Amino acid sequence: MFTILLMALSIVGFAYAHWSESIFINGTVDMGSLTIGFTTVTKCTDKDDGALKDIGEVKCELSDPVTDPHSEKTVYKKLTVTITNGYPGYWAECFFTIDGAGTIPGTLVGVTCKAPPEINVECRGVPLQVDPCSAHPASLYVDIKQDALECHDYVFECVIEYTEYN
Amino acid sequence: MRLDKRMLALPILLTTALSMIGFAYAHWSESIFINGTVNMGSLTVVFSTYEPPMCWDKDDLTKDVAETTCWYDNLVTDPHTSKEGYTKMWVVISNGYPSYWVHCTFILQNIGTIPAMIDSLVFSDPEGKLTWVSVTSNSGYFVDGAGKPIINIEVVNNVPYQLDPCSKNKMEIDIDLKQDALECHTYHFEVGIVYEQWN
Repeated sequence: MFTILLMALSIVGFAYAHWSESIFINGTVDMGSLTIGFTTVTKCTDKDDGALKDIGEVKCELSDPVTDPHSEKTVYKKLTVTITNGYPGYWAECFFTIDGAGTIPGTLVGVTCKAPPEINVECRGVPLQVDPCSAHPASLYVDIKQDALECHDYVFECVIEYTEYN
Repeated sequence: MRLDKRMLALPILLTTALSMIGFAYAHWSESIFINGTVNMGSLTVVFSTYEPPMCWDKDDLTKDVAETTCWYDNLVTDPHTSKEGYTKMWVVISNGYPSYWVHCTFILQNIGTIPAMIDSLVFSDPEGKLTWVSVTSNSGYFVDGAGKPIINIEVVNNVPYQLDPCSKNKMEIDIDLKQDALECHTYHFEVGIVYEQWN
C-alpha cells in the first residue's frame, strides 16, 4: 500500500515538476480613416459674366464640415450651388476640389444627379480615385433648357459616392 | 459516419459564408453631396403705366372731323418684380376719310428681370379681310381683296433693339388712310410687338 502511494505521489510529483513557458503575441491595429470631401471652390463662372449684361448669377458655397480624427484635416460634405435670375440658354459652371482628408484612398463608386428635365446637370472631371492629401479638381456644369418656366425655382442634387480603394 | 463528415463541413461552409459577408461589410464608403437651386428670372415687356398712350390727328387744329381714341388694356403683373403693365393697346378711328392720318405715342417697358430683344413687328387684320404688304421691317400697308391699298402704317422706331429690365422706350406709330378706303366701313388691324430674351 505504501509502495503504491509512493508510486502515485511520484507520478503526481513528476507532473508538477515539468517546467512550462508561455510566449505571447500582442497586437495593435491602428485603423486608418476614409474621409473624402470638398475642400475649395476655385471658381464659379457663367454665360454672361464677361458679357455686357450680367443677368444671371451663380454662387457656390461649401457647408457641413467634417474633420478627420486621424489627420485633423477638415473637408466639406456639401456643395450648394445657387443660380438666381436664370433664363433659357443660361449656363454656369462651378469648379471645386475633392480631397481625401483621411489616410485611405477612395475609389469612385458613382455619381448620381437628380434634376428636373428643364435643367441639365453634369459633374465633370470627378476623380476615379482620391488619394489622401491630394486635391483633385472637378466641376459641376448646369444649363437651363428652353422649357424652364419663368419665376420658378428648380432644385437638383448630385451624390458622389466613394468606397475604400481596394 | 457519413453524417459526421457533413457535420464537420458545415462550420467550414458557415465560416466561409460569414467571411464573405464580412468582406462586403468591411468596405468603408463615403458620399459627398452637391445641392443646387436655380431661381428662374422673368421676361415681361408691357405697355407702361408710366403714362397713357397719346394720339393726335390731322384735323385736330382745323375742322375736327375724325376722332381717334387710344387706351391700354389687359393689365398684367410680373410675378417676380410685382410691377404692372398692359399687354394690349387699342386705337379706334371714327369717321375716318382718305388722307386722314393719326400719330400715336406709347411707352414700352420691361417689367421682368431678363433683358428683352424687341425683335419684330407683326401687322395683321384679325378679321382676315386686309392683307399686309411689308415695305420695311417696321412699315408697309394693308391692301383689300382687290389689292388696293387701304391703310398705311409705320412704326417710327427701328427694330430690333434691346430693352433692359426696368427700362422704358417711347415708341411712335403713324397711321394714314388711303384713297381706296371705303365709306361707312370699319377696318381692323393689329400690330404685334414680338420680343424674346436678349441672348
